[in-house]
Amino acid sequence: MRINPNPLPDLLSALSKTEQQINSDLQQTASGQSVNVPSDNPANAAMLVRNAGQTAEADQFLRSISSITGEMQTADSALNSVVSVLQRAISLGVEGGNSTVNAGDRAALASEVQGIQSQLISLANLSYQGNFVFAGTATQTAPYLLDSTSASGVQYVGNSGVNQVTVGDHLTVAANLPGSQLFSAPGSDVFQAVQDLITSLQSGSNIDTAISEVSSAYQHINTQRVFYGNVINQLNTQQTFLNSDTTQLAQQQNTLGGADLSKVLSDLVNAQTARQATLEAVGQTQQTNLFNYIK
Amino acid sequence: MGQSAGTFIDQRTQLIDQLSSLVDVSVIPSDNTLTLTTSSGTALVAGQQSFQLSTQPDTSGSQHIFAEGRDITSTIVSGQLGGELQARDQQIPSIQAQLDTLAAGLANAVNAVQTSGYDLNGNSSTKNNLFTPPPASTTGAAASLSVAITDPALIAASSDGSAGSNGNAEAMYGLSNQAIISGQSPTTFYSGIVFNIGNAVANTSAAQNASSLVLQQLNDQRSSISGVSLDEEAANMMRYQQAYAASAEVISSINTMMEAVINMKTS
Repeated sequence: MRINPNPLPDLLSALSKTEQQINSDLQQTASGQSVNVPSDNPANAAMLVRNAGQTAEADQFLRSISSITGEMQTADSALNSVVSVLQRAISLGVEGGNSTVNAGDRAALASEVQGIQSQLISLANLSYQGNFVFAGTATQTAPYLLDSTSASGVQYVGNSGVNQVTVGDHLTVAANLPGSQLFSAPGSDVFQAVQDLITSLQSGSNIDTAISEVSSAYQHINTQRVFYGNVINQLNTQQTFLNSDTTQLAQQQNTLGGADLSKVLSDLVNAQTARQATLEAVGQTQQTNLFNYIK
Repeated sequence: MGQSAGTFIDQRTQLIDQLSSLVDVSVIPSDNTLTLTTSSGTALVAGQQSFQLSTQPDTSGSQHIFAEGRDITSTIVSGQLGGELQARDQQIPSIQAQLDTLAAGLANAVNAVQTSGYDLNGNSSTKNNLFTPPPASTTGAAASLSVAITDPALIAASSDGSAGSNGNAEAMYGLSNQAIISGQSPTTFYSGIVFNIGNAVANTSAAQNASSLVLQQLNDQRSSISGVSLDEEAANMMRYQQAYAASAEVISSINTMMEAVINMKTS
């Protein structure tokens, strides 16, 4: 059978194939990725897109968590101070209720409670990174204003809005407690109780009633404080989960699109050897023919 | 002196070769001439006559191919030209349409949430779209996707009008898991596009590989018949040289004989 006397085109096409293989191996080695363009592995490329989406989402959840955790911790420690200030108010009240205390002493006690009142206003107007923490969602203005026409001595100008923040798939947490629920809750109004204590110390009557009012406000704040502790715990747990989730996603990303370097390098060596062999074959073709022997 | 037609036939075959890598052509040989048509029957050469193809841009600026005033673009389905036309007129537009659907779906969904909320200044955002509204036909939506506002304070993050509210921002986030684009979430839809493109390219590369192997095989077969082997030619040359030498010997023998005969007469 007569064979094709000119094998060069075949050899050239073989050369271009090994060259393609070398290029693809080099690209994989350089990028560390086996999926550099979607056509390298369409199914994995599509999964990598979803993986990138999930990773970005998890990163955002983590940022949200660290942003609200800071605010929550600040709010929690402010409420801690509120609780101890109210304890002090109760003991001042008890002192004032003692029958041996005269009007002058009570006036001194009343003015100390007034100091406590301003301290409470300042705590309730706590701001974190420029936002008032206890103002509901009206965070741009201080929620509590001094108001002598109001029975409680203050006016609440915040709202009752609560922000829900998503920190995981189908997991949202409330990110704040509005002042209307904390300090100005009907029946346990902190400012009303403190104002009543001041008035009763000044007049010397109804001190016991005022003390029990402050006590119930104290109980109320203590109960509400649990909210912050709970959410902070929940956020910590979620943060731990998300951190391991991100690691998981990174591993998955590597499985889907990472280059198997040992395999790529051995492929590369094979392709280079094949290329060398082909080149030598090209060099060898038809170096001699019958003409060389005709004299 | 008349030249051999062989050279011209070779030249013609080579030209047909070149042409058929561009478009699929059929060759119908008759006695001394041939007729060349595209595979769908548009005449290119008939006997002594050739028919030139021309191009004209359509309204969108794409060139169309005309033969004798007739648009034959859609009938060219193979060859390099057929491949490029298919990519230009079918595959790329289909991917563009998917991107447009994604862009339009996303822009409309975000705008719907945006316009139901309040900006940082507490103003209702009814009239402040976040994205320039995409065309209703969605054609060109991806290319023209742009943010309509320049002031970040106009983003409607608030759902109750107060500056600290995040209700509407949460609702926008919620879109990421909603089936807002052809019944799929944006990420799922986009990963579908990525898969389609990757799959189309991978399939095409595989088909190209297969075709080039077939081509190589056919070239090998053709060359095994028509290729020039130097050994063969050398052998033939030696054969002809020897025949020539042998003929010369015969002539020289005849010559010697003739000489002898002539000398016999004169002597």
